[in-house]
Amino acid sequence: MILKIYYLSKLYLLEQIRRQVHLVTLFLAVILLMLPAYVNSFSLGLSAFERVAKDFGLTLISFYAVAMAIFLGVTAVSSDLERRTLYPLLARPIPRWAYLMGKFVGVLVVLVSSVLVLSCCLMLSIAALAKFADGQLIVVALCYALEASVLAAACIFFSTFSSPPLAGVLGVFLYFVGGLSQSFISFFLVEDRESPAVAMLARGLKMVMPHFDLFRVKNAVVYTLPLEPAYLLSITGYALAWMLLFVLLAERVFARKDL
Amino acid sequence: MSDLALEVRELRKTYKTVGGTQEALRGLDLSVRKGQVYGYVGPNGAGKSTSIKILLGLVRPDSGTALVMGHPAGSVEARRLLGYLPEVAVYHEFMGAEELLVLHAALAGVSASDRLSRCRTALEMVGLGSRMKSRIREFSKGMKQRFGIAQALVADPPLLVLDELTSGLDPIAQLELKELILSLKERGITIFFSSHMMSEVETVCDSIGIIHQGKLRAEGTLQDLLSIENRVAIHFRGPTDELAELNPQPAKAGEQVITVEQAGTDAALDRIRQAGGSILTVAPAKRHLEDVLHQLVTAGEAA
Repeated sequence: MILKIYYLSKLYLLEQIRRQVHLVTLFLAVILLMLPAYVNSFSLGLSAFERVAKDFGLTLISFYAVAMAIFLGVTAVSSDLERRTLYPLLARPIPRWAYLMGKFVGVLVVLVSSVLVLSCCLMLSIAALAKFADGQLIVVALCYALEASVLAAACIFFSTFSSPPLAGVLGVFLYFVGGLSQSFISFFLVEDRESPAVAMLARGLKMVMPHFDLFRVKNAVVYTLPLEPAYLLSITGYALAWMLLFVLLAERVFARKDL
Repeated sequence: MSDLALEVRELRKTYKTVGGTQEALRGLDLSVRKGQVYGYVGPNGAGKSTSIKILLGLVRPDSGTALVMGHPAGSVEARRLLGYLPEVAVYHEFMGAEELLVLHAALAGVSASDRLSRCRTALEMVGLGSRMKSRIREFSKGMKQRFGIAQALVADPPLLVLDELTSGLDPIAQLELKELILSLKERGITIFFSSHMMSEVETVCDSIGIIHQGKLRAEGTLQDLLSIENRVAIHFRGPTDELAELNPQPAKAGEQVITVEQAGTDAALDRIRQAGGSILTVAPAKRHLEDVLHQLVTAGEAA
């Protein structure tokens, strides 16, 4: 069965290459390669230059990963259904969970490889001016890849019971609410706007959603703070648990779906 | 071990729609023997696609049973034993024929050592041996259908389920596919074959099932369904004016045909001979499948 999942993922990857998803990644990679030179032209000084370049570059990677996760997650199954390429595949002796896993693994490979390429570009371009390659940039970018992978799994789940646009909206909603930090809720919703009811709702929703804010460890690399391996391990486990949950839920719904 | 390739009993399926519900299948019963070419015909919305999707496990029935080569329809075991050509065959068009077929063979569980040879055999069988490296998008509609049959055949299944095989194809491509079906039949493959094209069903199928409003209205061999009880068709050549009372109808190349009650056969033959006509054939009278379908549909709607 693992081989069948591999072949389904391969088919998905070939499809994404055909859709030229990698061209978007390459375009962003060029921006990231040129970014430090642009930032440096403001003569901020080496330390400030590094901080601004890392901050901006990582933010760009994070947005890219989220957008890709929503797009790929929502379209992974629905595009097969829409184009009817699903029927000859599911007529094969493959359980539906294996089909879903094949798709999910394909999405993961696209996401992680894109983020890796982009973070390497950012690291190299900063290293060209700062004369120091900061490997933590890649670690932080991989945390974003974990965040995006959870989001992609959620979007695949949403797409099993709703239309692609609705699944996309649900994905965006999950990303925003799940990404709200406790300090944001306390400060902006309670103290600044005096809306404890909204804050309570946000807290309640956040409790049942993945805490995306846990993956945002950009400050560690921007301000050269230490990143504890135990923390990285724990958020990896956390992400895997959420991915597993979403894939299982997707399987439950998809197994009962009339196609 | 059962000699049935497909066995469907009391299959029911109701879809939820915006305005309420729609009964797609209302107790469908169906039996297809191994080695048969079974034509599954019916008007649009009769329940053909739903029943085929249930056989493939793409749709779950509300009640009833469906067995594919003795295994519950939709199970991995059942799907291992069938090849499927969808009604609208859409494949990953950016891939090469052989490349995509190898992938399908892998998904069907064909061992790595056999994959390439199986794919080449399947492509040669459908007449695409010279286009193995071509991308699917370069194929004509007829070639895509042929490729579809090749992907259905790649795992060498004993049963083929072909949904609307020749829809939208030109007459030459239809003829070629009919010949292909007949050659597959000679290999002993059971073929379950849904179609709107009655002429195609008449020429390739051993047995026919007619579905309407989610129920099988008639089932049997072509001869059973098309013969008209107690009537005989007499083909002859000769003067038609003198035989006007027998109501002769023009047949092929100057021939005439009359249909009479079985009991009146001898009298009709004598009458033709007396008028100087020559008898060509005497056979049980037959209808066209279109007439049978039309009659059943009309009767179903009236009920």
